[in-house]
Amino acid sequence: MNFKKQLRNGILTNNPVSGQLLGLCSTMAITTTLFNGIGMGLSVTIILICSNVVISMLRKVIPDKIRIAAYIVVIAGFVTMVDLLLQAYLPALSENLGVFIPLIVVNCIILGRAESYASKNGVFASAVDGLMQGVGYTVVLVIMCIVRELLGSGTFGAGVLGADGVRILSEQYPAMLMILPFGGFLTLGCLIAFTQWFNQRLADKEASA
Amino acid sequence: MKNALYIARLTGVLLLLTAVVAGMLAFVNSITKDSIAAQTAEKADAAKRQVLEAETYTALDTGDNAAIKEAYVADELGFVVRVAPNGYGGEIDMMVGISADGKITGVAIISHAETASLGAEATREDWRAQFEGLGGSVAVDKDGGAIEALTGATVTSRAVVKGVNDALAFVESLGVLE
Amino acid sequence: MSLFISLFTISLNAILVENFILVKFYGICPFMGVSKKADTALGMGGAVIFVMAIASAATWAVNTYLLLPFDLVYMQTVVFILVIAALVQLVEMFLQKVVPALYQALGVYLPLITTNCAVLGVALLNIQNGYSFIESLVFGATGGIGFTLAIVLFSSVRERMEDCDCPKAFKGFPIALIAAGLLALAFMGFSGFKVFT
Repeated sequence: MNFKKQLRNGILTNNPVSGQLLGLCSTMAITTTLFNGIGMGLSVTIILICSNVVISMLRKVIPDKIRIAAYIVVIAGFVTMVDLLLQAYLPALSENLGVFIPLIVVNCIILGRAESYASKNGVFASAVDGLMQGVGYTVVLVIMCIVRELLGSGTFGAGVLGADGVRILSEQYPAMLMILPFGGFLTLGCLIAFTQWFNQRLADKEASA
Repeated sequence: MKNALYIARLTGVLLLLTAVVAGMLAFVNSITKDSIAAQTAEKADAAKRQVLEAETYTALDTGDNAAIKEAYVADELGFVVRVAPNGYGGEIDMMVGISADGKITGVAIISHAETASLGAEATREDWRAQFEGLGGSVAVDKDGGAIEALTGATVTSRAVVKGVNDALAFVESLGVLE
Repeated sequence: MSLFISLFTISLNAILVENFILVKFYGICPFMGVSKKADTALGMGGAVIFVMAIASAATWAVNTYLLLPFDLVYMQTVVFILVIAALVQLVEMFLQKVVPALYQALGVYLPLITTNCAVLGVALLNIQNGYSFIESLVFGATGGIGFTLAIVLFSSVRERMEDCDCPKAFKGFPIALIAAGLLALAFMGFSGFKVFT
């Protein structure tokens, strides 16, 4: 058990989004303001931890043949709970994320971790894995939100620091394109390119050392 | 025989799991249901007050007019009409206030699923304020009207305008305008 | 006639204006995963059209005749995903028996349709937009066609991109994403494009 390694895996080398290339839909769709990014990241992290724990507990009870169906039921249960709780206590967030909250069910990160980690490891290790992968996902979301919000609307932290956030670029500069789907693809492409470059450098260093 | 038992086991496990999940959801639903309903009601109520402040709102029969969700008489002041035109990302649930002489007193958006920073800008107060005082029928600037459409969100702007027009036409059809 | 017009509008919207992948961001994972070759992309697209249409019809029926009467709308997500998972399993078994060649080609990606947000997304959107049975069916099928259009177009772009020279860090996935972004930009040309409103 190695926290530091799991953390590094989650955030950098094996980041669910920029390393494993999972959960791309929500990453691009909702990263237009910081508020959405943090909200979505936290929701996914909580669901990931809960589903990892439950699936790890049930891993010896669930027959192999129906494991995927069983995982999906567990995940969908937690997603619906988060959905209902958000609607009741954080309506603003629930409204912004809309259909992408129920769609967390089909976020490949959660099913992927259930299949490749929680179904083979103990409860505690799975919880830590859920947390680290969730943090990795959140970090990517937040970076994308900051970049797209700054370049697209010229503000920082809309929804978190006041309704419109702090204006950094004056109204005439922001390129609306960054808020549109194109900006999502472009930002994520650059982010993954950066991760590849970084991992390559890391590998080169280790090879030469 | 062994095979049948195995299938029964598979079914049993899945059934049990689903039942547990369903039970937990029913529980969460029972705690959150009232809060969600209250949120929605409160929002609609606040929207009514925002577009036309009045003491009491009396519900009107909207007949079979599909465009009108709800309509209220706001004291002697005028009418509040709830419409839900189709925007870019789905229905835009909104409230339109109309004074007794057929002028718009305000437009409020209760919920929407428009693109953030584009269509979602329709909720901005300064944009909605354009509607105030207009009457008859409205249109966006691209269609030769007085409403300045949101940048990059003509679909949303047109949808809001359509909602407002539906509300105006409904109030007009009541035949009680001064 | 008005039904025909409304169906036509829904189709046009689903295929072009609100393309599931390029505008709404549903189903990006299979879009990136299966788009390396044009023929697999076409096969995947076909499977998705099929599953989306059946899933739309099935989830609409389940919602109208089971969830609404018994006041169980909060179970929507759980029930829908189970219906979809079962449907995908059926399609898989059907293909394995009847069209083994296609089954071989799609291989690992078929189970992935279950976790394709486009399928669950279309089921949820049908309910959200208050579509009737026919409208849901058409929205599902044409949403799938939009998916296929995007993935086939993109796979042709990607086949050519294989040989092109680009910065090392961008090789493979990142440059593909950026190309997809350009495709999304092209599809934006359809936005605000409305017939018969």
